[in-house]
Amino acid sequence: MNQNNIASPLNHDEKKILVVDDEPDILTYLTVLMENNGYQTFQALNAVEAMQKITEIKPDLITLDIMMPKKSGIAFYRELKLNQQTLDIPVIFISAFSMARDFMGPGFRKLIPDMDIPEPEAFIEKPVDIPRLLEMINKILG
Amino acid sequence: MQKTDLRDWLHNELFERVPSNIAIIDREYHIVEANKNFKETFGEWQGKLCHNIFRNRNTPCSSCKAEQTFHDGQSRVSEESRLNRHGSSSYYVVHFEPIISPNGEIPYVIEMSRDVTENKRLQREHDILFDRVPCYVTVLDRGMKIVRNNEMFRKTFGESLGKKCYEIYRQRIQPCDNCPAIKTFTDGQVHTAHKSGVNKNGETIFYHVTTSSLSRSEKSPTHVIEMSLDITETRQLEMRLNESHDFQASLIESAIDSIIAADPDGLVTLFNPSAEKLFNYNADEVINRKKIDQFVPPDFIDVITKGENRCLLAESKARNRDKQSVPVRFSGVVLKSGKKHLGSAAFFQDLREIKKMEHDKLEAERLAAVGQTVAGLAHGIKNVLMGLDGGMYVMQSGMNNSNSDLTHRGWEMLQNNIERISLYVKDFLNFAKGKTSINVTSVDPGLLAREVIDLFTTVADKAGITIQAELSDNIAPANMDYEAIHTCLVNLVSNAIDACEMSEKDGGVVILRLFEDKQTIVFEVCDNGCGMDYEIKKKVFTTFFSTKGSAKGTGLGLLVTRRITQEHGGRITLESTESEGSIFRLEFPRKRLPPLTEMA
Repeated sequence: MNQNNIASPLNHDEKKILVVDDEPDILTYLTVLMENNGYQTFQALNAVEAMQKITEIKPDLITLDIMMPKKSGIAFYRELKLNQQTLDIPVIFISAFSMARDFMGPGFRKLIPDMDIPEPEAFIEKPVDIPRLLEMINKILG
Repeated sequence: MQKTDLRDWLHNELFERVPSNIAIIDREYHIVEANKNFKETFGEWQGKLCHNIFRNRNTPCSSCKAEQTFHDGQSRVSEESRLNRHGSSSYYVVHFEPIISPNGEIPYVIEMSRDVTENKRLQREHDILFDRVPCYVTVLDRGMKIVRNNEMFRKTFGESLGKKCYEIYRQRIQPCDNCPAIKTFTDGQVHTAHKSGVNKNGETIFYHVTTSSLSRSEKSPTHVIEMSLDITETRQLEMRLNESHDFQASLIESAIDSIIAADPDGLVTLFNPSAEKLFNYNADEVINRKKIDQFVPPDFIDVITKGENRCLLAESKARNRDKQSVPVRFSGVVLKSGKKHLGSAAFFQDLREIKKMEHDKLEAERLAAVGQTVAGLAHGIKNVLMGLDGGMYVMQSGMNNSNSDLTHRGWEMLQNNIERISLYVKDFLNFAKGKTSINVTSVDPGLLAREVIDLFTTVADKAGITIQAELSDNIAPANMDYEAIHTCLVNLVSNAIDACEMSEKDGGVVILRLFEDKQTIVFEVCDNGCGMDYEIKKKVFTTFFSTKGSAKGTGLGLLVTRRITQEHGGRITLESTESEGSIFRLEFPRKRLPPLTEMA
């Protein structure tokens, strides 16, 4: 399965992607997938860990789960976008919530009314449509 | 006896016995002769002048009627006040008759007087009565014309003599229907009637009219006396009283609440339509036939017996004719006017509709929870699907790159997620069981809490977490499904232990509290674990998810807990502060707990 993805061109100038998810299986899946596609990946099981990693590695992109213990992806995202150091890092939400509209456009504003905080780059629903995810990453990272 | 002697004797007898006081006076006012009656009335007369006797004067009276008769020879009648022999003054009708001699001179005048003091008094009484009686009095002739009237009539209607009574009283041009005066003119009997009319200011007046014949025996009297009593004020009061009565009656009649009132002996005097509906009795079957005791809760009878005034029961039962028990809110009051005991009144608010609405609301909430759970289930399943996808992808990737670690990891992922699927199925079935399995018995809440604590002591110890029980004593047994509430507490305590394990801090503490406040049993599970931030809190009860990472939970626990709590008429609340911990609270108002499950 997905031979074409695994075999796709591997040169992305070693762009760094931080994968944040509280489920180890999903972390493994996403990092293997991204590494097969030529990205350098890092893992974080929760928001606290993610913040440490961001300072260390300065990722080019973050994929972020929403439902996580200790701090939700939404709370973490708000923190990220209010911090000058991390403000510009693009974020793709990857969540099992089925309604993209709850997290994009007007729905997003209900969740985060603070207009200083921009909408995320993308929202992808679990289980992930791999070609779409890869296309999205490719587009964001140029 | 000779003829002349007999005549003299008869004349003499007549003179002495006639029922009149007779005196004969000469031109100098000497009394020259008087009869026996005169002497008895005025005393000794011989040698006295008439003004000496009658007025106790020494000179003749001014305007002396005797003097006038001496002067013109005419007979006269006058009414005079005279002193009797006891010196008190009385009224007399006095006739003066001249005695004329053959030569035309008038040497004497006969004076005949009769005491009319009593008549005079009666006359005066009659006049006062006629004029001052507080009603309109008129005397009517057969043409219905007013020939006499009293003072009160004149004050209201003016003189009006010669006018017809119906013109005056009712501004009509024809006699009224059922005129009592016409009836009296016909049969001579007394008649009464109620009439309304218009006074001279154009205001409506009400009369109570009595008519009576003025002749004693005639069948068709020539005159009728008509007495009209103005009852306008009474009528207005009566009308106002009626209005007020009607107003209150319609309030009671149309009240949604059932209202029963009783006299001091407890006999029902009022039973409104709502009460008829609630108790399934007709008012006729109850009023003056049954005692209020049969309808009101015993608490109210106690209140009456103890001499208290009021009884309020937020929730009570009314038993209807078919011995069915209806939930009601009850209010009873002992009615008093000053110290006088007037009876009692009872008000019942039928709670069946409200109960049904409460039940429907809980049911709707349960269905909504099911809906949310299905949506949540999709969330969980999608994670599992992604895990399975991932397992296959990672395994394939390992195989393609001859990386046995990766292959092994992929296999492990497949196993994990298949396990999770069976966990979901089990939990979901548990949740979906719904109400059918509820088995309510009388449960000791303290015992139940103690058992849950015992269950977790070992687990908590191993994880380095302290588990404490703070249980109030003497909490009375309550109607609960033991297993179900046990499940709730297990879910909450297990969540709390997980929260402590996941916390970055050491020294986790979980407290299970039990207390009762205002007839509400409260279980509280507190932890000082990781807490939940706002977004999660918002979602806790609305979505099916687990924050526990890996394959530890399905997130259905809280939803199951909520369902069970609601089935017990209770509610679940949450206080949570990020990284400080959470308090989950289950509140069960006693009055909303389910009835005991009947044994098969």
